[in-house]
Amino acid sequence: MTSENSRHLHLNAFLMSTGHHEASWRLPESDPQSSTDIEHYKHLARTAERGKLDSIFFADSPVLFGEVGRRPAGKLEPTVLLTAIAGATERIGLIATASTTYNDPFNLARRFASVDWVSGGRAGWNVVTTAGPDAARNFGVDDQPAHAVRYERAAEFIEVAQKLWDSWQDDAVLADKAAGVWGDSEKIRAIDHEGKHFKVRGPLNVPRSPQGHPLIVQAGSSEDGKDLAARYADAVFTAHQTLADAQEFYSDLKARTAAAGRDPETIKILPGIVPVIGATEEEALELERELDRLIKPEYARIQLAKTLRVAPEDLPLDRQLPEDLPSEDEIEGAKSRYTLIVQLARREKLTVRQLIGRLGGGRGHRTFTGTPVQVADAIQEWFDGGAADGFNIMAPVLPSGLETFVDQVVPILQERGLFRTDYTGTTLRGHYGLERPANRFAGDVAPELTSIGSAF
Amino acid sequence: MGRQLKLNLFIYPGGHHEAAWRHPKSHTDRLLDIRFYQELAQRAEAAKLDAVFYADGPALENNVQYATRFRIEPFTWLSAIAVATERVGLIGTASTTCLEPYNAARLFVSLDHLSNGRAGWNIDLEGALGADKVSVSTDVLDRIDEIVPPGTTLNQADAGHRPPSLADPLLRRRSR
Repeated sequence: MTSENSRHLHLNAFLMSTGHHEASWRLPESDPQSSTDIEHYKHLARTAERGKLDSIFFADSPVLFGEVGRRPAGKLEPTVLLTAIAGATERIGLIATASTTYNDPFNLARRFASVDWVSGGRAGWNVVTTAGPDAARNFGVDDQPAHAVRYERAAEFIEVAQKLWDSWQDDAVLADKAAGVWGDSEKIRAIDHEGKHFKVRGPLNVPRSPQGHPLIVQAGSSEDGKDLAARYADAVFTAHQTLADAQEFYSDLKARTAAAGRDPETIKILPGIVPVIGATEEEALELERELDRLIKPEYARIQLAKTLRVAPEDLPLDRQLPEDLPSEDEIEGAKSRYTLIVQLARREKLTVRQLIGRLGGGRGHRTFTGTPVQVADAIQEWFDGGAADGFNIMAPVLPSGLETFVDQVVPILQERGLFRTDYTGTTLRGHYGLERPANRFAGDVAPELTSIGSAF
Repeated sequence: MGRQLKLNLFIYPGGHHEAAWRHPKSHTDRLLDIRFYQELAQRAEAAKLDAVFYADGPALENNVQYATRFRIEPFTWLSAIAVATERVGLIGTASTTCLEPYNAARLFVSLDHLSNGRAGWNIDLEGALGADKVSVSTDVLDRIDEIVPPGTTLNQADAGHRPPSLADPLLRRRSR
């Protein structure tokens, strides 16, 4: 089965400590301490690079998530983790999540420009607005800002970051020793941004980075999330359980991107997939059953109850979800994931216990259990079927699930002509087939910078 | 063995002299190359220095025409240096005025994990507070006190060095 398709898949390895399955840390092979072990992450990154994947990615939130009693909790801050990984790899892209609600644009634009310099143009930023009151309480507010306000702030935050990344033109550094001129002051400018949420003078104190702008990723699938993606995102991570849902999302987002005045080819849509792989179908099913047996339903129910905004006692394990759950419009965060979970349970008439098993693999992402050929078929079906430009690979167990994917599924995709056999570029934008953005201030002569003071 | 010196390598991109980047021996073309700084840290480590250190501030300083004023963000820079070295300490500057405490604490603890216990925090404003005439607003002092409560032991490993403005609560209160 060789594809004549000239399109190539984009594959991102979504990394976590011991894997995406809730109970992965309980397997004999897993190291429950791996979340702070740099050698573990270096190995994962090198494995993904061996498979020629586009990028690796860390989710993040500025809050201690979940029940510390249930699974390994606590994560290293992803930009510093990726910088450490940069030195152990050469080509693979490095995508970190950072919140626009609980950061400041100058600090964050600067940190991502720095990651881009350290990695030679491999940095990506997954822009999130961070749902939930727990994170809010780490930043001096009692509850999260409203969904629409968080997205409005996110849009302005990205605008400010992009202006700061453009505040140095590419040829601003002259470094002319003989003439004694280091920087060309006509090519380094204040941005003087004044908006509803931010007032930022600039310029950035980091020269324009190898990619110009680090890759922008967006991962919210609500209406506000899709509109934000259509305007700014280079890649989108999304969660769908069925081909039909994924197709609808894909065509909707491509249309919104065109409506925002962009070429829809310049936004790459990557649904998540949790591949549970076995040499035979029975082996794969046995791995899935083993993982699900290790879930502690009483803890998982607390998490589900939180997502559904009900009390855990309202979710008896062997009954279906209650009928009177709130609608998506009535809730304030993680809207699209909420709807996905409720629809999955209703569509397949799952009991709470069964639903917990289904969510244990990928928290709402599609779990696919089968042989390497079946996994490759599943990927190709969505790729050829107008549902995906690639996939966010969420190995249920790490490192073994990623090793199996790289060693057994990637070669099949390569044989079918669906995936690169080697890197052709050196930057993350290059891997995703995207241009280096032009500088919005190119050709302008910057007014003279006047410094207000000197502090360091 | 009596008292021993503590030696810290304070790194500015082109060297501390304003015109250092113009010197024929300066590696002006490598100032944005992380390997240059990894090599500096490796040399500091080979000489058994205590730590390498980056000053920092979230603004582009003036006179960019004449000097290497850019500053790569120190956490990301130090994290890359951490994996290229084994023993040398890694001290970054972070502003208590411009960084949220939760984010700053997390960046430092992450760097501490990645480096197996080699991270240090130069709390910005030390210079201002150590001066003879302190002119820092009550808001800023309140903020520092909230992040680093007066009396916090900041130098457990080295009681010999106690920056007075941070170690002495009296110097940090408005009532001095």
